[in-house]
Amino acid sequence: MKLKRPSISKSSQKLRRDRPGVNTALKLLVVLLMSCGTLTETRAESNRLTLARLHYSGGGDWYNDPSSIPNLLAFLHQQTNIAVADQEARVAPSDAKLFSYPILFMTGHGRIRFSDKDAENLRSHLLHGGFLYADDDYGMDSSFREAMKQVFPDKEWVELPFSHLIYSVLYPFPDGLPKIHEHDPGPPQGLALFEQGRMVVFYSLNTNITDGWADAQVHGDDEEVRLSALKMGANIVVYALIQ
Amino acid sequence: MVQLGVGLCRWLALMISIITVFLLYAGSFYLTPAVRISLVGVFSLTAFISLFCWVLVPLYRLLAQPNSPDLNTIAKKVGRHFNQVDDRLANALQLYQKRTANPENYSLSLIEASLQDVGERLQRRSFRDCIDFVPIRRLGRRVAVVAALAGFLLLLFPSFFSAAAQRLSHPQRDFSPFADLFWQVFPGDCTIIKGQDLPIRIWLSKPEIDSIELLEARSFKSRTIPLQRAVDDTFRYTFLGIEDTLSYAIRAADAQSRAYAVRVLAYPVLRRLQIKIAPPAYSGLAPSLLPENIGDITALRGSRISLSASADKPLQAAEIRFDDTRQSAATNGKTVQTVFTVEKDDRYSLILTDVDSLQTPDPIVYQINCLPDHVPLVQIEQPDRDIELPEDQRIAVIFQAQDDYGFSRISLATRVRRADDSEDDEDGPFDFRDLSHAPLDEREFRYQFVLDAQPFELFPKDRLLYYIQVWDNDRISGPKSARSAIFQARFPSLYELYRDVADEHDDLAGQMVELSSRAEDLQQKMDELTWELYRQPENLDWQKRQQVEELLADQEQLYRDLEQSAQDLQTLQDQLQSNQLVSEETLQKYQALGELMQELLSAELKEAMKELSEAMRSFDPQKMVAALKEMRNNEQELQENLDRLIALMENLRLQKALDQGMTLAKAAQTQQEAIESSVADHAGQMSALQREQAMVADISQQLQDVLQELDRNTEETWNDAHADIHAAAEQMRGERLPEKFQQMKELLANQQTGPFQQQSQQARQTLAQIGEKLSAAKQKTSAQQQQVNMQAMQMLASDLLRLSHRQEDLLQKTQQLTSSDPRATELASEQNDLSAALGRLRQRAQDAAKLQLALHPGSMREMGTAFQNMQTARQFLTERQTQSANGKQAAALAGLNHLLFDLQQQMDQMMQNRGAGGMSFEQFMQQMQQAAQMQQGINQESLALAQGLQQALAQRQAMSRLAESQGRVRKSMQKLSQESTELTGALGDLDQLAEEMGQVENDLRQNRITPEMLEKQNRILSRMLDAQKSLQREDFSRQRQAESGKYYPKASPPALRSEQIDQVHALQQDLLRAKAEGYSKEVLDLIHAYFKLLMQRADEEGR
Repeated sequence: MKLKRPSISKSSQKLRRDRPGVNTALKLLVVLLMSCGTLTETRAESNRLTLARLHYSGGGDWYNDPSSIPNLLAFLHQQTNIAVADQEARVAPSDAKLFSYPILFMTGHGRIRFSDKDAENLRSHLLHGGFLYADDDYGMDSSFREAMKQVFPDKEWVELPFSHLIYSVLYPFPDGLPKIHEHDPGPPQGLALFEQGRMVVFYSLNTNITDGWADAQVHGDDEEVRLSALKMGANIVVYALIQ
Repeated sequence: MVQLGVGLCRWLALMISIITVFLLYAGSFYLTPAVRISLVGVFSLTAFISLFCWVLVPLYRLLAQPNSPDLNTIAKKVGRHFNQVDDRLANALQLYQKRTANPENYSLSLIEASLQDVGERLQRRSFRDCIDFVPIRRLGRRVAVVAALAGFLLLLFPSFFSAAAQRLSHPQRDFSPFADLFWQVFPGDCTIIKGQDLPIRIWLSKPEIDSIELLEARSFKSRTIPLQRAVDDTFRYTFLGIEDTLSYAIRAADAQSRAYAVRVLAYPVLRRLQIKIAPPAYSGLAPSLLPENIGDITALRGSRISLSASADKPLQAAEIRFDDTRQSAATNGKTVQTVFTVEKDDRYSLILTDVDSLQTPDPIVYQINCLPDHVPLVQIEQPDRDIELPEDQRIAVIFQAQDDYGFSRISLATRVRRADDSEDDEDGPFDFRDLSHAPLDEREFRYQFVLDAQPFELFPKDRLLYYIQVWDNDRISGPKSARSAIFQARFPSLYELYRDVADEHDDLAGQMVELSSRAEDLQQKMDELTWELYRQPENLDWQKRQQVEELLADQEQLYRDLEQSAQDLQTLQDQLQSNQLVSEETLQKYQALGELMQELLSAELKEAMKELSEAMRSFDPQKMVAALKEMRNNEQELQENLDRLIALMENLRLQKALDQGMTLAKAAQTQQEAIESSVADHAGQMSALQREQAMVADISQQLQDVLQELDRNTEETWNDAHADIHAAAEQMRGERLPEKFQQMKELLANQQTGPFQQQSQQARQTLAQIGEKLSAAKQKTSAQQQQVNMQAMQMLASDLLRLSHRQEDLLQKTQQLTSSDPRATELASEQNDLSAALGRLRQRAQDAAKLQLALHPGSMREMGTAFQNMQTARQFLTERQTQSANGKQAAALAGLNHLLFDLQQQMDQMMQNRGAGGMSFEQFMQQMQQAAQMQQGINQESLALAQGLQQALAQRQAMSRLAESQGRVRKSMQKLSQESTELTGALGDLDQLAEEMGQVENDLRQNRITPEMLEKQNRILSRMLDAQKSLQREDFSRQRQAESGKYYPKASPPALRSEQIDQVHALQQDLLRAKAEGYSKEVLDLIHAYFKLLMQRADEEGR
């Protein structure tokens, strides 16, 4: 079944809050970021959006599912008119290049450890327009929460209602996050941290969305499951861009 | 004065008369006190009135009116008495009185002349002659007469009158009708308490009266009680237990006293008592009502007791008396109400006071039993002893708690005790974390939670102390707490884990040796006994029987010990698996050992023991011989399998040591990398890093010991692999890694991070190389073993096939024989050859099975069964029982064919587990993993070089070294690609991967490190890691198995509130910014209204 290529609808635009100053600044920032390149980007990709995989310390497998981000980017290229790159970027939290990537991504199974510099850099990035999507590939939950407490000591995780825009901005998910893989029984959870009304971190728990983005032969998921995961990934990226 | 005199006389006469008459009356008649009182009253009244009228009034006149009568009246009276005077005195007096005023103007000489005239006439006359004293004389005479008369009577009858006078003078006293009989009655009229006794005492004035009668009158009932004089001269009687009002009187000598009234009063009595108990709210107990009139209270401390009671009469007051205190109670008519609180064990009684101030004399004392709120109980059920932390450092804790009324708090207390803490630091503070999800309201529960030790950042040999503490919900005395025992979870060092496992392995091997020896002894005994019984069955005496019983008991004990050993082996397997101490291949071998162990505990052996036991009961020598033979056969098989187990365990011990070496090398490498990373990031405290470095030094020392042991023990057994092991041991010895790691610890202490990084990288490389050598050794032993297994099985299968054909031929020949055919004996000889051949095959299989686990234990049993059938067939043929022989030959042939089929299946299975080029899946995965690790190391070093952390010369040297390492990885990938096309087919093109590696190698050789090269390295590593993951069929951690997600229906979480998303703050900031823009007031009002709406909408929509 070939999917249509919906563009970001006017209704989605209307859902943005009327904050002309901030929105304009964000757009400019995105444009600026997208127009800046890194040493590792090719010239052709310098203006394109990519997700930066966070290379954290602590021993966890930050590199898990390397085919997941490229597949998501390919899906976004097919289904939307967002100019996306072919490959993911990789950046450490303390790296100054962190600010070049508006959308960060992290996953893994194990331990995450942020140094003070990592936490400070990441916090600054997120407070100034950055967005982080984290997916628990089972096993990183407690370490991740501890690490985020280092970044935002005063913030508490909030579980998003099913009516939140992130579940409907591009594709509808009326029951919230789809459950891609079963590790623990129970429904998935979509948690978020907010700063002045803007979501800065989105964390998917007990579903393993990113496994659904990986190549089919990696986990042996059927097409329906992978499609559901990719659609949700697209929702996350689009929401991060328009909020 | 005359009148006064007259009055006085009259009065005296009257008094004397009245007194005399009254005395006569009182003395003549028996007058009741009422009459006497009346008489006295009349007398008194008369006396007073007469005195007043006759005496007092004239006296008053005499004293108050000294001029009465006046001079004129006296003058007239004198004039009347003296005729010659007549009115002249009165006239003269009038003239004289008016002389001053003289309104008629009489002359003074006239007045004086008249006075002179009267004076002359009255000369020698006395005015006293005018006073008439006759009435006084007359009355005086009368008084005298009356007094004389009274006196006369008094003189004549003195006792009469004195008695009468005494009676009249005591009008209230009761006197005997007779003048000389008096009595005194004690107590007379009285009031007593109901139920009391009333003693009566009577005294009579006449001692000669010895008996009197007591007249008792109660309501509707009266009686007469004769009384006799007592020794004290009185008459006594006691009314016992007077319940009702009564009256009594005395009768003596025909005289009867008045009735004396006895009023009976009752004490107030408690008629109804009702107690309500309201336990304290925290207990959750409902209020209760005691049965009516039950006053004993058993209640929880702090309970409010509401007491209501009713008495049989109206009350004035009520009081509760406890042992130490008192408390008044409210009364209302007959009812009493009060409230008090149970504080302790006590007693109380209810004291009622009626309107007559009578109090309950002997109130019932009730008990108060104060139930204490007991201290709660808590116990950790699992783990119920000190344990060693598992690999994921998560402990499932189950504890049970109970309290009589519930809990207010449940906490987990933890404390870390580091390995280098001094022994003096035994006591230290614990950190408490409330278990908020525990069911506080329940009085007894079992709760499970996971204690994750990871946050405590334990190092090997550190201990996590923990216990559970609970507090009950007693709000009266305050919560009481209890705690469980303190348990420890110890983070074992790798060395300890391996040491423990090695000890258990050795113990188990020792057990096998002992069991084998016992089995051999038992066999020997069985042989001897069987022979004796067979030879002389009639000698089955008590002693023989005793021997058989002992033998059976030993066999049963052996069986039980085998079961225990099987359990110990299972425990060892679990430990090896949970701590990932051995490779999967070695673990599978342990599992196969376990299966073999289970085979030892065969049903046939148990059946044989049972048959022997039954044979003993039957006391049949033949049965016993048969049972002994059967058991002996089983015993032999048991012993053979035990020997096989022992040999396999020895082999596994070396495999385990090899796995241990690989694990230690990898662990040291990983740990060292983490330390390096921390030092590079300036993260972590130096003291913690030094500790970690010391741990790495320990691990490297353990690795050195293991390598030396392996080097020593594998020289003769592992031909190919020994070279690699020897090389690794030599390199370890030459590089002196334990000392180097200790030096690195010193460098850290001195903050010399540069030299530290350098040495660390070199040490890691050395460890990686040693790991490679051990992996290579492992590969070689596995490959060698696989090959030997396959060859042995192929040879066995081939020989079995030939044997099967020969047996089939023999079967056909036997089928052609008739019964009792003499040719049967020839065939018997041939059958004997076949069974001997099978016996040799069996021996060969057993010998081979000692070195590997290739042959399934069931196959050996099949072989044994086939052998027995052949032997039996030979016997039948010898005895010319061709038909019976035929059956046994067919059974033997079927057994051989079945055995062949099993062997073929086992060989097929072995082939499936290998790649097409002969490499097993595990070997492939090991090599992939090893290569990936090498690649990761190369990538990190390249990055470090790119960051220019080393000097130029060192950099060039490092690049050269890296290029060589990359080359090695490339070659191993190429080799993997060639040897395992089936497996790599699923991965894509490993050749392309190798080609990319070649490009990187070139760059490194040319000292060219570019971002593109670094990115290429990252891609290479990602693909290698992806490849491992996609091929991994089994993961030790079940938690990481990814199944498709199931659907769990769930309600949407609640809408977001403004404060949750910090929107209020955001809107406020926006509002402030808008205000700062300097808009007009109207615009600002609009902006205010707009933001207000926004916030309301945000709350409603949940954004």
